[in-house]
Amino acid sequence: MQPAAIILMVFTILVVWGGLVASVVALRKSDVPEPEVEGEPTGAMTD
Amino acid sequence: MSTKPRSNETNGAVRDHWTGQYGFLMAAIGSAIGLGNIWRFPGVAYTNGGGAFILPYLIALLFVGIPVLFLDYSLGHKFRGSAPLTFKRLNNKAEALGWFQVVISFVITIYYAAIVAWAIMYAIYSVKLAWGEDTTAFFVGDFLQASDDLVSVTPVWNVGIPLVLLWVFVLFVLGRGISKGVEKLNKVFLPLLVVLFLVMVVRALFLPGAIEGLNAFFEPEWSALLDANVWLSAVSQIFFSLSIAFGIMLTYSSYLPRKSNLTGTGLVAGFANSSFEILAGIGVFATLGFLANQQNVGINELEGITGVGLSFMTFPAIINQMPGGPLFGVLFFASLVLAGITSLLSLLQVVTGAFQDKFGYSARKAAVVVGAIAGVLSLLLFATTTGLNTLDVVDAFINNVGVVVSAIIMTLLAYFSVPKVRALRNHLNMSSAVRVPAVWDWIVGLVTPALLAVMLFQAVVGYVTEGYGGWTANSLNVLIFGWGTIAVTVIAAFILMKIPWKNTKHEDVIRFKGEED
Repeated sequence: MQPAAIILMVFTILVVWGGLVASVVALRKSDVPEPEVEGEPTGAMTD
Repeated sequence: MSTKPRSNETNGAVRDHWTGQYGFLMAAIGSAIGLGNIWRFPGVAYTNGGGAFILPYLIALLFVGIPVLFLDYSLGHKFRGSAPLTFKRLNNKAEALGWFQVVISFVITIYYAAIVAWAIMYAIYSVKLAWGEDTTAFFVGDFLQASDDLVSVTPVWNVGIPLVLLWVFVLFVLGRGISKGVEKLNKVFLPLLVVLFLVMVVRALFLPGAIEGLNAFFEPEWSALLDANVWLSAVSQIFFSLSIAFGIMLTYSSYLPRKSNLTGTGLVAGFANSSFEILAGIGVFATLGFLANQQNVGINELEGITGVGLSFMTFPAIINQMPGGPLFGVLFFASLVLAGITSLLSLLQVVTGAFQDKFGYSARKAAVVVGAIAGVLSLLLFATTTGLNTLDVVDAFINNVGVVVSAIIMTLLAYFSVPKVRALRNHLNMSSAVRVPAVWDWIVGLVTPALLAVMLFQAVVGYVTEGYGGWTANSLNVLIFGWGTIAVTVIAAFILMKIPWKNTKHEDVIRFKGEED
């Protein structure tokens, strides 16, 4: 393989699969906020 | 969390929910990973600069794909409905856009199911390499019995029988509802798909010529970065691959529990989809490298490296020459079937969810009503000798015109409606750990529709001046199955909008304190 192709393959895998791993870790470790909900009278069709 | 459909305490509305974040993620990723990831991405990347394409691709993922995915999530989660209800709640005059998205999804399901049916048969054919030496003649002639007539009622049982079985299966799953049907199936099918595909890719990497294939895939052609069409191709690939802006992710996110990490799950879904796409590129090009090696030609001399041709003509030819070919064939076509079914379910949920919201149908009744119509149409149109030609034209027009128009209107509507897009960003930020910056408003409301408008313009000019797929612009194929499909979609959307709402019990809109201030 050409050096440029190897570098791009490694770069792509690092960014895309690294992004996947990082986002999974962030999702598992982060606390989900629980904001207050404003009172809603009904499940009205229009808002 | 309970898996039973829960009654909304305020108004008695009963709506099924995902059992949690994991179930939703499996379904969202299963929806995004479809046939296009396997057969479209590798060819698009290769013809748009190879390794250099990765740069615009990643930029499009981060600056168009994921932001629009967040828009879908925020709309569905906030307004708690299928596309028609969500858009009606966003703007009382926008219900037609929701039905436009529903009809687009419906049209796609009826031909998408036919392709999955082909893959089912090819998984069986793989065992004995039943396609013989001339795989193109087998696919077009023996298997599809394709004719050049405009319309035919001559049935093709090779397609019709698996198609009927497929419809029975997916409607059974849909009829069980979100938590017991769609979620459970995705929790099994998605991991299975990843395992099967990984085995196939590892096998491909050890074939003679695989390294040359990878070299062709990743070798950069830097001059491509100066070509605006390459950047548009990247936006287009990300846009179609993530299944955004035509109702799917909006519908799925409407079944999320109130407490959900929207941006966190969106990032995982976006990166998972691209990870699978890269994996598919590696597997496909390692395999194409083997074919080039066997034929003693360069990769650039190979034909049929994308779409239907890649899967049903080129791959069978490669499998013929490969040690352990039958097993490889079963893995490849079983992967197509699994990826296809999980995406098909998400498309159908857009339709059945809308019918449940508007007419108060149960999940089972909606599945039967929608499935009966869709099943009959898909058999009549795509299990006949003219099915291949019809499919080709309908697919091009419904995606390049229908889906893109839907996305342009949706993004502009979200930007200009009250509550404005800032309220949707606040909704995302108040419920999520990863915050969305203010620039998101401009990206989804102005940049994305502008890019999509260019894509639409190019497609429409091409169809009007040159026609499509070898048919001239005024040929009956283009006029009836191309523009006719778009016209029917628009008319059907307005008819469905005009029907009065039978169901008035809907889940409450979620309005976090201060998000609309």
